[in-house]
Amino acid sequence: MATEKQLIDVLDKIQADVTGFIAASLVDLDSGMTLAVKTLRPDFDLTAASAYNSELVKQKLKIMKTLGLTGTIEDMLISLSDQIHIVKLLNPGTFLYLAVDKKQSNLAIVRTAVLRHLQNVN
Amino acid sequence: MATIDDTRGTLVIRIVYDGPALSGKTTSLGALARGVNSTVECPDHTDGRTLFFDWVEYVGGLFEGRQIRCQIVSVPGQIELGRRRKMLLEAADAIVLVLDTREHEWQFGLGWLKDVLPFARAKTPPVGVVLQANKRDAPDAVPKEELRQALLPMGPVPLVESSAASGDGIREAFVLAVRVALDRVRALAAAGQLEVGRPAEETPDALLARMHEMETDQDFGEPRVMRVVEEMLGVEAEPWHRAGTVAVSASGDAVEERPFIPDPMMPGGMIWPPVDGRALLHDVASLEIRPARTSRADWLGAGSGFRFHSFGGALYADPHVARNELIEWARLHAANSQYLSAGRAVILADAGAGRLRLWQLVRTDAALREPLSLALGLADPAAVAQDLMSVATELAAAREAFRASSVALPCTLWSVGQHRRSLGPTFVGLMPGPASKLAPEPEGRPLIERELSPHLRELRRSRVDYNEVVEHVQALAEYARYDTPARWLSDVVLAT
Repeated sequence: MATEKQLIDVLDKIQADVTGFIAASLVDLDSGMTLAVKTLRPDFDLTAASAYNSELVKQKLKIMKTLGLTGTIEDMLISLSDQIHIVKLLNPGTFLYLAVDKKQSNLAIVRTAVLRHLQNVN
Repeated sequence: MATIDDTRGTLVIRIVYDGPALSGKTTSLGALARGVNSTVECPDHTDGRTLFFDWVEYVGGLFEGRQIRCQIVSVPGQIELGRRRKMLLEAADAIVLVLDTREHEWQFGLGWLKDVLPFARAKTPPVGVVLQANKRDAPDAVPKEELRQALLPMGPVPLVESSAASGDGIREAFVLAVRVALDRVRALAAAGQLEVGRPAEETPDALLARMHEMETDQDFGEPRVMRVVEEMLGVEAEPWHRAGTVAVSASGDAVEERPFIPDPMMPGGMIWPPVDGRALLHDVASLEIRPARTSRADWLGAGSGFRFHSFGGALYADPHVARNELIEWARLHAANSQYLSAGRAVILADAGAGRLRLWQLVRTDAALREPLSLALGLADPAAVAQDLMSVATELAAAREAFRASSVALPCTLWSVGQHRRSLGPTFVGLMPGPASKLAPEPEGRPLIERELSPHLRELRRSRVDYNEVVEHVQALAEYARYDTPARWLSDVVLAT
């Protein structure tokens, strides 16, 4: 597993590449605990957001199991009126959570940056 | 200690940071507190030395919809304050053992670990211990391989390297400890022992008052609590310790593998699926399944409704390679989940000398071999013919269904499960693995012949009414279309 410094470095790179970056975290799916965090808005409760997004992923996995879907989750996109939230699974136990200002960015930029920088993280 | 606080919708757990004096416990808590925007509270500190405990509170993560409230407490490391330390350890849901791994301190720390492990493992359910190998940035830090070698005889101990001064590894060790604590919470809940209500000590002041009370209340505090703790700390080596001893050759260069023992407290990220897989490990941990080498150099263990298997070559010296392999297996399982029986896990287990071995754990489900055995013993030849036809049909259906899977799932009487309505054919055998090179599976009549011929020969030898069975099979196939399981079975029966 990458060290916390390496994980924060990845978040730094994503921040540098994504205009409108609000916050990002790498999250342990099992517990919902953050492994690394980066935020530009002190009022954005990244800890709570990470925890509840871990439930979101777990619920989606349950839904897939119930429906007999055989694929795996690659990412989950939540489009708010003013923000884009993306959840990208790194491996079965860890995911990236990223919140971006919708006016300053778009989904293509976000996905490209995330894919590029997560390639070397396990 | 773990308590469900329903009034606040939280789960309260306590993570205790243990370790010798000046090993970096308080510094670790400081780094952790900074990382999670919290503060360290230190009642009765003297010259930077902890007299009672340091306290950090952190609310983060979720457990079954409840927020996790972590009481993170460090013990006083000074020997003369050992009783206070033990009081704190008593209430731990997970222990992070912070050890100074510089050359001149490591052996002392190792003794500390040998003291803590039996105590933690004797608890019911056991309290997980995470070893935070600290001061890794020091020039005279003991090499990691040497640390691992020293840990070999102690069974699985998750190790996280850290430098408390710089903050490296602190959060990783903490998150791992939370995972371990949540496993204990699940075990407590399963046993109906999880406390519900307001936690006994909600604040550092309440904990301090409690400790003062226990120190002065001789009737309650000293004799009862301390006796129990001392007894636990005096526990001799557990069975795993004797069984897990690693043999080293005279030259010291060939280290045998550590025997695999299911450990539900193994670190996160080593089990797939993360939650259900660990729950499965909980189920099998109490069973006496001890895998042994097969003639093909694989490892196999079975019994009590479970099977463990590992391919001979599934031993990895590089943890990153091992983890990639685990992920590959996880993907394979996920992609083929519609064909696979439930109750499966893939595990990366410590194989000694810093190596990891990839295991699959499979709950044993009924295979077609079982109804076939019952059928062959039936008195009525028509019923025997009917059941033979069912088995042949299910084998053929499985072959057809498994063709769409991304891995070559063998169709045998041992690997195809009994049909369950609406679920379709199920593979109940051991997964062949992503890199397995299997011979192409026969289909149609050759498949029926391969699987049923030996049983039909036995049937012919043992039954005086075998001809009647044959006639019934032919009658069942009479109106069946060409190229169907009924026809294939009829042909095989006639040729046998």
